[in-house]
Amino acid sequence: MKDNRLKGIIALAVVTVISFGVIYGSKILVKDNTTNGNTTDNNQNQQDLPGAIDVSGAEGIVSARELTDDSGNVTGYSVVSEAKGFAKPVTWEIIFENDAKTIREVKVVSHAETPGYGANMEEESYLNQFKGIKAPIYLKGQAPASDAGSESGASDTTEGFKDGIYRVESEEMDNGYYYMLTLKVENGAITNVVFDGMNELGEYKSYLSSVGKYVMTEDGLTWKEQADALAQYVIEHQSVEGLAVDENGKTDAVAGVSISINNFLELAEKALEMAATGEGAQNAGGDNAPVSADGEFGEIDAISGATFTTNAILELVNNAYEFIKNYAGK
Amino acid sequence: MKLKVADQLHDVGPHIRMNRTTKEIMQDVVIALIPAFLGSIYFFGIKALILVMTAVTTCVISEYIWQKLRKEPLTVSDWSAVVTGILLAFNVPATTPVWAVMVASVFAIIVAKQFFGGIGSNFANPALMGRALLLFLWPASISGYVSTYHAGADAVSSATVLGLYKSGSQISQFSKWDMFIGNIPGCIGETSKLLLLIGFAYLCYRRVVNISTTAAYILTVLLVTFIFSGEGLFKGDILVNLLSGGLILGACYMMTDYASVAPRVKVTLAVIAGLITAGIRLWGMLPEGVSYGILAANCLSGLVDNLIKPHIYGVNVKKSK
Amino acid sequence: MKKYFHGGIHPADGSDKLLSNQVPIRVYTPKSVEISMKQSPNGFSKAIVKPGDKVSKGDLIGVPANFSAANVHASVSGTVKDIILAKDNFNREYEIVVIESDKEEDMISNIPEREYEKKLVDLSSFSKEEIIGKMKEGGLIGMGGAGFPTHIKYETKEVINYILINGAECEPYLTCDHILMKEHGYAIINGVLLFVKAANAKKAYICIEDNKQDVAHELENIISGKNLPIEIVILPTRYPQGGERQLVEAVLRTEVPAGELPSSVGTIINNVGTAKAMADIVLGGVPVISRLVTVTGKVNTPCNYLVPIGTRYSELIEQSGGFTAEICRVVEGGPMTGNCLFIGNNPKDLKGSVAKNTSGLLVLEDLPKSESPCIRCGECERVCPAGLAPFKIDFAAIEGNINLCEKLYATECISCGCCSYVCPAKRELAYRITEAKNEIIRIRRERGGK
Repeated sequence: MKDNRLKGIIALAVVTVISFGVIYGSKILVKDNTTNGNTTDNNQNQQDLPGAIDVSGAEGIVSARELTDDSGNVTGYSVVSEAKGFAKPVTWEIIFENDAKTIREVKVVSHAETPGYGANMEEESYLNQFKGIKAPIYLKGQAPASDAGSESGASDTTEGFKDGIYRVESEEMDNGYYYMLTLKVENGAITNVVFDGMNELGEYKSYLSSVGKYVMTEDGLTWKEQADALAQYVIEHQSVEGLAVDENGKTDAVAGVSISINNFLELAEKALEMAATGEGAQNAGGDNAPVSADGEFGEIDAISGATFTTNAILELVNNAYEFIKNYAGK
Repeated sequence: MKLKVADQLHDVGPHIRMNRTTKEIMQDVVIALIPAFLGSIYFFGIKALILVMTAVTTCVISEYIWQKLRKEPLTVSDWSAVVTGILLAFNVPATTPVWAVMVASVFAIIVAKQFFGGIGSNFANPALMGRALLLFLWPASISGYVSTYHAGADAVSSATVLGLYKSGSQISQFSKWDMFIGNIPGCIGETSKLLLLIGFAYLCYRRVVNISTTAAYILTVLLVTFIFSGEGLFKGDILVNLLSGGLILGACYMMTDYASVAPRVKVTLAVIAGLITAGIRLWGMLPEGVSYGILAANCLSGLVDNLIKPHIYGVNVKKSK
Repeated sequence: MKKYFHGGIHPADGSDKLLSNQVPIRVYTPKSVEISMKQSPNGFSKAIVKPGDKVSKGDLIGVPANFSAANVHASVSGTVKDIILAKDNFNREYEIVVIESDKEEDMISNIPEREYEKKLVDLSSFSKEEIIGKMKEGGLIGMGGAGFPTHIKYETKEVINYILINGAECEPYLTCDHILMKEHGYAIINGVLLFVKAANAKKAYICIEDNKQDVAHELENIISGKNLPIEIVILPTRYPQGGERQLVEAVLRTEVPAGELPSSVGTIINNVGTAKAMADIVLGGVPVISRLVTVTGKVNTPCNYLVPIGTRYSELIEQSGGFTAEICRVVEGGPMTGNCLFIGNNPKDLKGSVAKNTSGLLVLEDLPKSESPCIRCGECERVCPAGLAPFKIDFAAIEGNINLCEKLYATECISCGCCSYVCPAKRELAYRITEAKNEIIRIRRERGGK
């Protein structure tokens, strides 16, 4: 029996070493194919799957592969693509039909968007709208007209603000939170403002306040509601005029808002300055969308209140389309 | 009826004995778990090592202290506490806090095993009971599944493969090969099927386990999930169910753990456990049903033992000419 | 289809038997013998000689004193030197007749070549009653271990269809039956035919394990073409293939009902040594006075000895060159079911002598005994030939719960020892279950029950 055991242990040791060799070896293969720094491990493995397409050099494309049926015919393509969202990358898998244009379906791989805002992308109703539409995609009402030279779908008004999306962040932490504010200008007017804070752990103040983890007073509006109210004020007034503050940073101008709004004011003023000159504007994804060669395109709804997230989605879907279009030679 | 006590039994037969002792059997189990242990360190980093060491040490010390306090004969040297410690650690994710593992170990040894009379008398697998305790009292501590350490600079939280599969999300980012070698999120011991299986092969070679129990359990789970999961009948994804979650770990090491299954009815209980596991996976709240399936089988072992009558030579046999 | 019984173990790899079955038989005639009046576990006879009497080889020196005893005969010619009183494990008294031999007797060369050793003999002149009468006269008991008087078996009222001859020799280390079958094929076949006649049976099966194929071939050669009611059956080597109930299960594909004898299913089982002794008695006119004994294990020259009944064990050890290990455990019989005679290192301290049913004298290294808690691995249940759950009976016996033992069918235990053999916790399962079984039988007897 002792011999038996020794033999067994030796055999086990040998097989274990071989197994580790196999495990390590397959990870080496995978590591060679990681794309730019945003490593999310999950997707890399597509490279090991049959039909894998080389994505080196393609920006924003994490991995891609051909989907084939049993006889080896290509039935479609799967492209995992990412773009920067509100804070961190948003990664989706887009399945195209074999025409490299029609989207069969999309799936969320990972994201770090705000619950209640960008995280709503996960809802089935939102994702379902992608089924069957054709790339490239635009927001509804933003599709470039096929005749006009469409660099930007918005008219460039001389007065008012310059179109685009403006994003400002605070330099330092204040009481454990960084603050950020985005401001969107369409057709010369401010149409959207989002103000939020984020702590060291990456948790959004709006989220924390709506789930009861950040409470200021027993009754009265939550922080999120107050931030929304402030944002609404700016949209209505197209400026921060009238938001007078006392030495504690409090204002009476907006009903229900009792928080100190210094952080908000600081960022809003800066954003408005930028919007006035157009400096630092980032374009809505739709502006950079490839013009569809055959005039066919798809339209989707934005995620309300989540401009950056929506832009990220547009960007990544269209990048995926560009990539697969080139690959398929269509 | 007076029976001679063990020390005085010098002269009774049989006078030859098989060489195997309890300690050897337990040591064999530990040896079989070593590849998966090394794998867990490789995939999940130093934390896996810490957790396993903590669990083993706590289990051994708990058993020792308990038996010393109760003035019972010490059985710590039979290595069974070591096995419990390793299996307990294998069943929790790498982000579990050390204190949670310690509490679970103490509970597993003292309550689930020693309260009932020590080795051989416990009605359920101590490691699974320890995990059940954590699940019940501090669920957050063991739900932080991380994807494998090696893949990213810092562990990224992610749902397990089963969790995604159950919610219908895409799991194509985990290839079957990854699920086989262990490059997926999960508990530290359950991910690498390859390493678990080679350990199991060693146990079979050493005749420590009965392969039919393991096979019955796995086949039952696969059959039921094949029929009922997936769109429409008979379309379930067999490989996903086989290679994800704790099925291989549970089937190979927990189902076959001696104290948990009454010998004669091992296969029947394996089938029952399989049905429950598959049921939870398909229709229960949780994505993983292995722990509960096996625990349920443990609890039912007494009942099934009574229901399935053994055949005794010469009993209920008609006189024939 | 291979014939087998359920349960069982493989306790040896064959090297144990090689110690003694490659070596020729040695004949040993001691200067004096001690013939015990207790020739079987429960059979007591009464000596009918006294010190000073002169006896010749083959003379009757003891008659049965209880049900399971038989006649005892002098195995050497000489003078009765002494009658010693002894007590067994249960404090029952019995006598030992010491005879000092007065002439050099060589067991083999002085015996004329007997016909029945060379060919098959015509048995038509013997009637059934005569044969059974000779069994009784010649003191024939089961030479395979149980030592039950054979004539009582054949006096059964049941109809007997088959005789099973046990040539399995399933216990490790023992090889005397193997050698017997090799050397005395004709005598054995003659004896078997006598048995068949005595029982009016249809047929006899000679059962041999497949590690003794050479012997099976030889016996086949003897019976081939002669239209005899005998068939040679090869069985897979496994312990305890030679158990009565296991043979019935394997060969006749039926089970002996609990509490009944094999005759209730129409069969009688005898050891192959008993068959040869039968031929000696009826055809050779010689009662049971000698046998083959395997002396093996930790001795210098293990082999099989042909000795008179009553040869002292200590002398046999000496003949084999003494112990080769420090502390030895000497076992009478087979290693699984035999009795431990003593544990020590000096052969001179060994008491006891060869009885009619002593198949072997084993010298083993001493086993340290230490029990640890049951881990419920279930191995004992897996190997039990009777289908019991030994670990459960063990727990019940330790608690003293006799009723539970009875419910768990402890009475069906055949005391083969498989359970204790495989137990990794080294628990004394076979011992405790046998104790429980005896207790239950005792209680039943007291109640005057079954």
